[in-house]
Amino acid sequence: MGKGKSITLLSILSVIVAFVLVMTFVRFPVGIKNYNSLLGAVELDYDLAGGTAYTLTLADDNEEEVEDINQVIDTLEYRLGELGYGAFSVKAIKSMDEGSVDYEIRIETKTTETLSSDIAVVAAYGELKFFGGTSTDSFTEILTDVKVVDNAKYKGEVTTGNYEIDIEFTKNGYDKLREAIADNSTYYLKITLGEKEDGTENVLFQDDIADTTAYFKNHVMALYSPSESTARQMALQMNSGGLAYKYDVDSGVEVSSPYGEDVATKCAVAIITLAVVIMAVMIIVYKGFGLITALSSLLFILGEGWLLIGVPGIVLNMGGVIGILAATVLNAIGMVVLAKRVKEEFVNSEKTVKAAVNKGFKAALVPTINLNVVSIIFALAIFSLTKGVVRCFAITFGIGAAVAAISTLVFTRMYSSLILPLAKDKEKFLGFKRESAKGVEVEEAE
Amino acid sequence: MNALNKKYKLFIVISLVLLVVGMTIFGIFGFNQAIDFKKGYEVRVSIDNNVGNAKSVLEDATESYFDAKGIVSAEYAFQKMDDGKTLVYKFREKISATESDIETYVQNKLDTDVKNNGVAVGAGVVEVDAFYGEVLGNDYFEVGWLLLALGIGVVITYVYALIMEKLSGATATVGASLLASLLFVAVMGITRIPAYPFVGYGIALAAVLAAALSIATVGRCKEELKNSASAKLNTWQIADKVMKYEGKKYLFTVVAVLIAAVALVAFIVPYLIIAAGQMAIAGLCACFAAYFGAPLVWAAIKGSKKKKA
Repeated sequence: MGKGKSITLLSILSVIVAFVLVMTFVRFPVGIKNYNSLLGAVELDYDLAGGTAYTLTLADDNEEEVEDINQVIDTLEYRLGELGYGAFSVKAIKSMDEGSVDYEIRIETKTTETLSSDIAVVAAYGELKFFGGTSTDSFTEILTDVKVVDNAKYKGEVTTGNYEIDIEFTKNGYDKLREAIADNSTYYLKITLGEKEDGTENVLFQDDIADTTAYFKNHVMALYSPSESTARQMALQMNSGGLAYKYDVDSGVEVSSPYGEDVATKCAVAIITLAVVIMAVMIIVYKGFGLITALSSLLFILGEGWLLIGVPGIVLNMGGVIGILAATVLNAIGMVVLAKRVKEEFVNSEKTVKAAVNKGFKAALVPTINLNVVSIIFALAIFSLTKGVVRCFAITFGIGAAVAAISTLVFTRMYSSLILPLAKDKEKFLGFKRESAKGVEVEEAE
Repeated sequence: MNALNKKYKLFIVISLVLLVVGMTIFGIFGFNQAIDFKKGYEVRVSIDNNVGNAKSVLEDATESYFDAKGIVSAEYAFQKMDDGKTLVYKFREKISATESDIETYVQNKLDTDVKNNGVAVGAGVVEVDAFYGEVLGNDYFEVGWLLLALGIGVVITYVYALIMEKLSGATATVGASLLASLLFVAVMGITRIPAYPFVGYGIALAAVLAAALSIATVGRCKEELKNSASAKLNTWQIADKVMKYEGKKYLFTVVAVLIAAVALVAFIVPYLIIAAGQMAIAGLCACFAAYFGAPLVWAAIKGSKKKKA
């Protein structure tokens, strides 16, 4: 590539990168509004930006004494996780005063539009109960000695305003129900799940089911709700088991991040510091080629950052921050592999700089791909099997590994094609010395 | 030539000592917990209104109470609620305080220090409420799922490495990854660095980084074996040669991980220090396992295959 063409392309690229850098990191007023920068556009989870805290206290009409508070915490955490909350905190707190018996529970999580109703679901009281009898008013509780439900799934809107939940019965539960029905020509079944907000029984189903074929398909019973949120909540409540105690939920207050104040900004500074120091070290160690890798690393940081807002549904939490830091390290390793290969090709042979760079890229291709593919494999495995903060680590690390591969193999190649033609003395620019030249220097010194 | 030279023997001894000691400590005591996880204590101080910017005085007054009790800020984590009108201080250990003691101290400060336009608002305008209690929590760390995910990751990596780097390379890669994860757990046990909530990332990072570094290293071993066919070097000599070539890469990785850790620590936030410590341990374990372990396993398997051939 000619010098003129290199300068033109490099100038255009620099302007684009400078523009993207400004858009990424600088906040500025636009008319009466403010442009909030990329950092402002990244959606932050509760552990980085704070959220809302709800306090649950045992209701006055709660009947059962709390025997295992850890089980309550587990149920609440399970429900929050199932509702899609990534970072949250559930704590049981009891006064140190003598005579204090009951724990209050504090739930802290990201503020969302549906948080208030979600917390109501999370704290929903009551278990799935089955009642049966030959007339509508002679119900007795049945199926008390067996596990009845294997799984409950929200299926979606089946007809307008009708949302389906499929309850998969266990074989034992289904057989017991069939036995109970078998002796009667009419059999009324009522299924309840805790209480409604007004304290009345929450009846999910009530009908004559003497003919089970109309209601069951392969041990699966379909129930319907007029509201999507109620249907989702019911499925969740059935799966997580009943919360045996009745809690009152307060109206919630704003809460700061558990990691301290301005933690998101501090994390951003930590990431930028890491990237800048790595770039500086690369330049010091690998001179001209270090500069090329440093510029590519800059594109890596921008690419990772913009993908965080480009990929829908990413809510950044501390796991995500650690993922970005790890991906930045991975990118640096890739750059070192490449720089070392280029240097080796030049130093140990009589190749020209251009030939050594080409050969170096070729030699670094498989190691770089291996390095990043293995990282992506682990990230995908963690992403598909975990939830919450660890999943966010997998997302940012996986995205980072993919961008790092592009950065090492494409951006570095592009920058070396643009920058090397501009160097008058390419060997001096790269700072590489051939083994033979080193030998001559030693001889001269002697 | 002696197959297991000094550095490999040292590597095996160090690994075994760390694993035995670390796992024993881990087996007896488990992971150490951080403030705010599993079990702790909290002091909650709140005011009913913000007359004269009382909330800023509230923070100073509460912290001066802790100072007076000899409790330094490194011993607690701090959180604000309700726009700063409620402050939550979390402790790992019990503190010598009572609710009424805190309430009286902070109330006195507020009664004298809260001012409107420089004039003290007087007693009883801002009411203080203090609470001191024990906290139970859960780490909500799905260890089972994470280990399953890492297991699947290891299996897929093994298959991938088998295709790219043959049996010796794949075994070395996966071996180093597993060793790094175990070393991480062992070192966490020994150092007693608080585990939750970051321990999951630590284990994952150690495993991933070790696998990624190892596969690149065994790739280099394979390449050197091919290039030095005429020199008739045995696999141990090739492994030694590759370790020399790769030294800088590993040194750079260690430096980069430590810089990442220092970047987090620089902000002196207790939780980030925990994350930083774990990140450093994970990175060091990964580099140690990959730098020494991967060439060792590769040379041993490749060497025995060559002998058979």
